[in-house]
Amino acid sequence: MAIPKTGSLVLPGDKIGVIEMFMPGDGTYEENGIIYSNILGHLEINMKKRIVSVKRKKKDFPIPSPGQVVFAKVEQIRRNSAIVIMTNMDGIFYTSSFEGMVHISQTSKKYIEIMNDAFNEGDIIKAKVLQTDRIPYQLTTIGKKMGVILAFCRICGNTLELKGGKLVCRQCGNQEFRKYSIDYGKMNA
Amino acid sequence: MELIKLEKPEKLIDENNIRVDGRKLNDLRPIKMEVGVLPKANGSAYVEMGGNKILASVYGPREVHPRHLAESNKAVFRCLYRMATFSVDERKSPAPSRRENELSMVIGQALEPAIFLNYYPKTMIECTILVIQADGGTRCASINAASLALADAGIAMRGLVSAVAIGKADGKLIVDLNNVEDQFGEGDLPIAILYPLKEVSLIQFDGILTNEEFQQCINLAYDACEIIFNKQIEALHKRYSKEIIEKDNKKEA
Repeated sequence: MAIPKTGSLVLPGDKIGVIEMFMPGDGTYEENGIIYSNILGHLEINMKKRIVSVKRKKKDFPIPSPGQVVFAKVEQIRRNSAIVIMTNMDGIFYTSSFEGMVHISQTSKKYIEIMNDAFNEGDIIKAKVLQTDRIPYQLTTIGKKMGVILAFCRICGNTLELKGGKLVCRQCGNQEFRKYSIDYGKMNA
Repeated sequence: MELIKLEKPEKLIDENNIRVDGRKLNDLRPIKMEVGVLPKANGSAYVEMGGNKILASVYGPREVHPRHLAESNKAVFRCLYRMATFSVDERKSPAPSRRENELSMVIGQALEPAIFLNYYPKTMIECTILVIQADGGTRCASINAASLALADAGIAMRGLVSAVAIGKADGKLIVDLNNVEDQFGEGDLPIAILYPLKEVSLIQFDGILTNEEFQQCINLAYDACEIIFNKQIEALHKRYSKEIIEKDNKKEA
């Protein structure tokens, strides 16, 4: 069987080689000893490791998986949990948003009385995906880097600024408490 | 009540084995396939098979709604087949009919074995098929369009699915029926084949055939699907040749 060249276009179901020649990598599958392509993309052959894989032509579909750092908007606050909507992960936007939940015990290392002390509706948070076994996905904001990265005043709705470890409203001077991240205010972080 | 009635022609096949629309017995209708026609969808395809004009789009993998339908180990594949009100001779009611719901299910089941659903747990892949013009054998054309759209979306698949209808008219086996042959013929046998393993993923039958004729029909279907499969590959290669990609990148930049 002729080996297709590296970089050539392959379609789902195209024969790439046999199992004696390569190990099937990403974007391939093996059936009856023959390696087929899984997706539409470019072929990549690693002759050192003897792995053949297909690099996809279109952008990947990121699906939340444990350990990912995601950006989310707080949609609803309950007594001991917050419902958030995850929009992107490490700067890559999901094809559609996914719903997640932050439990009060996973919000901060410190003791928090009620959820309103940590987040408010409309805040943008940075969180880590804990587990994806159940829907909604469970998130955590424990850690210095995790937490609110953009918050709004409860009185007038303007953005809050971080001044000397406290969040202060630009317009009305209202002081608020949040579980904020060290990256507060840096949306591109 | 039908206002417009199709008239039955005297002969569906004449002495020289020429059919109503001038084709030979084993000929397919002219096929045109285009990939990536809808920029907002994750994947899309437009297919013309004779008088059939079909637009298919794929969205996803995305969050499942309603949420209780989500499956923890695999994606949910949902297929929607709809006919436009102007797609047939008489105005079709825009409400989803029994036939449309049935075809949605049939097309979905023909495509499902091709997709690696376990790669996308707790998500949904949605495929919408719109028939703009119908001329017999829309389910086969829809399967061809939908499998192209799925490949265009970049969803992991075992391979492409090609489908064709084999039938019987005036005692002879014919390939790729049109509307007249479908209505006045003696049998209709749509077959979908999943490449590259050449497995049958859909087979339906309506009419009367002998055992031998049935075997012949399946052999004819394998030959006809091979031609359609090559056309599908050609369409995908045409869309994803290097020049077009470079053009698209320039536009985005």
